[in-house]
Amino acid sequence: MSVVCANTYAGAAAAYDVESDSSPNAIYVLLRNLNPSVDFVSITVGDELPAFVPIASATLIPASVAAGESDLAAIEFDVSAAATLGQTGDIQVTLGGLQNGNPIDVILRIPLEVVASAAAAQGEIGVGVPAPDPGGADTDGDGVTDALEVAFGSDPMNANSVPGKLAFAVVPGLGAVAGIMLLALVLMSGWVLSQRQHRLGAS
Amino acid sequence: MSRQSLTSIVGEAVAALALSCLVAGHVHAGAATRIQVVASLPNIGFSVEDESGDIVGEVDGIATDALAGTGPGNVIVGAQLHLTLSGSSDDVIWGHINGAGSFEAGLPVSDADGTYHKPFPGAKYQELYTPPLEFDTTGPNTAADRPVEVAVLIEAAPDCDIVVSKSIDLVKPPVVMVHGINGNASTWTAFEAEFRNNRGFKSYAVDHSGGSYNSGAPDYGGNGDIHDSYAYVRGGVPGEVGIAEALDRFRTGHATAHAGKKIAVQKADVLGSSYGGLLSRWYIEQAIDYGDDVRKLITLGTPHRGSPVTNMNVQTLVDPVIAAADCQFFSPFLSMEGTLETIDAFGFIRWKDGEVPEDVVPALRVMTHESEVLGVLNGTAPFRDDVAYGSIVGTDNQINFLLIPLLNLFYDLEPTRGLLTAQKRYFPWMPILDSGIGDSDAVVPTWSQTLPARTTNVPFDHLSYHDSTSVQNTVAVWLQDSTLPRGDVHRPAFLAQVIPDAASRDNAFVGSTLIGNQSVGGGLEHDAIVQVEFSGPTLGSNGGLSQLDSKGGIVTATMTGMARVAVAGTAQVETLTLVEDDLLDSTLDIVSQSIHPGTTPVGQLFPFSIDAVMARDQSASILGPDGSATNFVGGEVWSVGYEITGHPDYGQSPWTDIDYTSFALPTIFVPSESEPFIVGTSPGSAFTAEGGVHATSGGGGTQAVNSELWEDNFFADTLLEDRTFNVAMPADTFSGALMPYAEPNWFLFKNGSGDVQGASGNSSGETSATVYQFLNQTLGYSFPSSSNVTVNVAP
Repeated sequence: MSVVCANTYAGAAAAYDVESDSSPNAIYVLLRNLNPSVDFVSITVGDELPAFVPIASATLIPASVAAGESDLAAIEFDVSAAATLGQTGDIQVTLGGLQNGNPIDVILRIPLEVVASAAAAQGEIGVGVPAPDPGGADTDGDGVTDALEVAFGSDPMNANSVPGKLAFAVVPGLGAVAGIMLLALVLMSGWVLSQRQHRLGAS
Repeated sequence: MSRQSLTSIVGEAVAALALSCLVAGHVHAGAATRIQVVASLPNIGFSVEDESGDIVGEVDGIATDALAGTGPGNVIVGAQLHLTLSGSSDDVIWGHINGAGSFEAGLPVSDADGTYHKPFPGAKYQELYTPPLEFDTTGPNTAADRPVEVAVLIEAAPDCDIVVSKSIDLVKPPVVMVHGINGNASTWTAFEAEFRNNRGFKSYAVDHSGGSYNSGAPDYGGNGDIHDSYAYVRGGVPGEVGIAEALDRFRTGHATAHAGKKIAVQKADVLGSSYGGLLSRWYIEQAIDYGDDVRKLITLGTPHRGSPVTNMNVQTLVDPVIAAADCQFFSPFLSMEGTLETIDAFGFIRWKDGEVPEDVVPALRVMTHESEVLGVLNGTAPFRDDVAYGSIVGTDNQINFLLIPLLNLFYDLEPTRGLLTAQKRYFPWMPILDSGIGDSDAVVPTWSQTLPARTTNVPFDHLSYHDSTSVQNTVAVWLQDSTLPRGDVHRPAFLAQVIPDAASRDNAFVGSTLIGNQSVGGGLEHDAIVQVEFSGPTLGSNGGLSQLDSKGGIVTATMTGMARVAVAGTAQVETLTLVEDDLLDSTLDIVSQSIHPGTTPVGQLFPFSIDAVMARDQSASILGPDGSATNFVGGEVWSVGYEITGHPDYGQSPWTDIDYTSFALPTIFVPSESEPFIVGTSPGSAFTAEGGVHATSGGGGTQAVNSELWEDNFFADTLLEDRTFNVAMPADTFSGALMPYAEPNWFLFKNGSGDVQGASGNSSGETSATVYQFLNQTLGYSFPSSSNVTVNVAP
C-alpha cells in the first residue's frame, strides 16, 4: 500500500522559492507519524526531478520514524544554472514502511519555483537548523522532541504547541470572554503567519 | 545538539555536493535556501479482501476468471475484491496509480483492467473490484502475473489529497488438466511444463487413474465410471488434486500457485483429453455437487458422441463370434479377444476390469456410441450457459507405431475371418462409417469430437495432442479469449449438427444403458454383424461349434448384415446365396426376400436378417434346396457363408463352421432304461426307434417311413416287427434332406416259450436276442441298419 500525501504539511504552499545555480539547498521535513503500527524505515528521492534540479538526495534522521513518533527527513538538492525564472516542479520523496507485513509508502511532494531571490529560510522556521535530539527528550510529551520543536518554531514546554499547529489553550478561570480574546490573538498570529507565506503563494 | 553537530549529520550529502562543485571549480551564482515543512503521516487503513470470504484477511491478487455474459457488457462474475477504506470521512475518488506513480481516476484501461462498482447502494468507502475478462488483451500474454495498483484518493482538504493504494496481481485462472482412459497425470507432463514454465499458467493435472495402470484399483486405470470418476475433476478426493484443490492453492499462496500470494479466485479453466473431457462435462453439467467453479472447458479428442471402437470392445466380451474372430491387427495369429488381451497386457488399452466375473471397464461402456450417459449429456440441453467451451479435433487417422503411421483402431480392431479368405469382415461398417482419411484421430471420429461453435481441426492422432506446439498455442489463445462461446451459444449448433450417416450408425451400434448409476451394455446391433448363425431343433453344440447329428433335420442359417437403401421408404428385394466353402464354393440355398428399410434415408445402411435352410444326408454331405456338397469321409466340418450381390461394402460373409457327425442309424431303445433291456410277458416292453430318413419331397406334410426290427442270427436274421408310420415334415423341408423320426411303442415280450418275440408274431427263439433297426427307403437311397442291442426275457 502506498500513501501519497500531497501538501499535507502545515502552512501549505503552492511553491517554495529557489534560486538558479544554487547549491546546496536543503529541505527539512518534520515527519509526524500518526500511524500507531507503522515504522517508516526508508526514504528515496523520486526519479522524476524537476528539470532545474539535476541532483537531489534524502536521508532519514535518525534512521527511521517509529510508530507514533516524530523524526526528520533531510533533502539536499542543487538548482542548475540553466534554471529560468518561473520554472516550477516538485521534489518527491517516498517514505517506506510496513504495516502487518504490507508495504506502505508515503509520498511527499515539495513544490519549488525558480525565483530571482529566495529567502534563506522558508516554511516553518524556528530557532536554528532542525536537528533531532539524540536523547529523544520531549518535555511536554506532545510527540515532538524538544530540539525539533525549537527548530520548527513551537513551544517544547507546551503540549498544545506542536510544529504546524499553533498553540491554543483554554485557560481555566478566564471564562468565555478571555477565551475569545485569546482566540483573537491566535487568529491574529495566524494572519501574520499567512501573510508571511502569502509571498510564497500559499493557496 | 549544536548546529555544528546537525551539520555533521545532515550535511554529508551536501558536503559531497559542495566538494564536487569545488573540484569542478564552479562558484554558484545563486543563494542556497533552507525549507522547513511539517508532514503528518495519516493513519489511513486500506484493506483488500476476497469478496467471497474464501480468503481470510488481505489478499495479494485476483484471477481473471470472469466470463462474458449473454448481453453486451454483461459479465458472469468470478472472483471479486472488496476494497475498504478506513480512517477517513472525506470525499473519495477510486482509481489507480499509473506507471509514473501518479493517481488517476478509474482503472488503467477501463474494462481491460477491471471495473469498480459499489458493493451495495450508498457505499462510500467500499468498492468491489471486478477483474478484466482476460489476463491481458495485448502482447503474447506469457507472463504469470500483471500488477494493477488499485487506489483511492481522499480529498481531505483543498491542500491535502491523500492517495492510498495497493498493488494487486492479476493472474490467469488455474488450469486443471484431465487425462483420458488408460493414463494418469503424466499424460500432461510436457503440456503442463510448457504452460507453467513458458506461458504463465499455473496448471494442475488431475489423476483419476487410481494409481498405476495395472493396480487393479476400482478406478480401472482411468477407466472408471463417469458417475464416480467425475469426483476427481471436482476435487476433494484425498491425496488428489482437482479443481477444488487448485483453487485452494491459489487462495493460500501454495508453492505451485503464486507462491506466498493469496489470490482470490472462484473458477478454474479445464482441459479435458478424450474421456477426461466427458468426465469434466459430467461434473459441470450433471453433477449435483457442481461447485459453479469452472469458467472454460476445452476438449482434446473427446468423444462427445461416443466412439464406435468402444462398441466393438464391448461386443468382443459379450459375443463369442466376435471374440473368436481373427483380429486384423494380428491376423491370423490372434483372435479379437486375444488381441485385446495382448494390448491390455502391454498397457495400451485396458479392456476388462479384472474382476470376477470379468466385465468391460466402465469407461468403455460410457463411451459407446448412443450410450445413455451420452444421451443425458447431449440431450435437449447440453452445456452450461455460464461456461465457455471449445473443441480441438484430431484428423490424423493413423497412430504412429514404432515411428510408422500404422494403427487405426477402426480397421485394426475389426473382427475378420481368415487372412486367406480376403479378410472377410464381421462388421465392415466400422471403417466405412468412421475412419476415412481425415475423418477421425484413429480412435474418435471427428463428428464425435466436434463442438461446432468453436472448434479447430489439427492434423494429429489421438495420442499426439499433448506434445503438439500448435495445440498448445490454440489452447493458450482460447484460455485468454473472451469470445470463446458459452454453452448457450454451442447448444443450438450442437443439436443441429449434421452427423453423416447418422441413421446407419443408429442401425449399427448399441449404446450402454444406465442401471442405477452404472453403465451397462453397449456393443453392436446384432443384425448388423455380417455373419451366418445356425439354429434348428436338432442342432447341438460341440465345444461351441454347432453340430448336426446323424438323424438330420433342417438347419436354419440366419444371414445378417446391412444393405444400403435404394429408394427411401420402399421395400427392396435382397438376394442372398448360402454357400459352402470349397475350392469352388457350392451353392446351398438362394433366398430372395423383400425387406423394408423403415425410415432410413436413401444411401444409408439398414440391418437385415434373412433365413436360408440347409440339411444333410446319410453320407454327411451338406445340402440345401438349391445344391449340395459331398465328401466321402463321413463326418465333416463345413464352412458356410453367404454371398450378396449389389453391395460394394462387402460381397461375402465370413465363413462359419458347422459340424456334421458321421451317420449312424440309432439303435432301438426303451425310454429311461439301459441295455440290456429286460422284457416280460405280453405285451412286454415298449421300444422306440429313432433315425433319419431322406425326404422324398419338399414343402412339409407327412412322409411314410418303413422301419423294421430284426434279430441278428449267424445265418438268417429274424424279422421281429415291421412297421410303416407317418413322419411329420416341417414346411421348410426340401427333397433329399435327412429328416429325423422317432416312432414309439414297438413291443418285444417274453412269449410262452420264454423267448423274445416281436409284436408281429415272430419269435427269436432266444431268451437273449440281439436286435437291430433296419430302415427301408425309396430307391436311390441306402438301407441302413443300426448296431445291435441285447434284449433278455425276464426270469
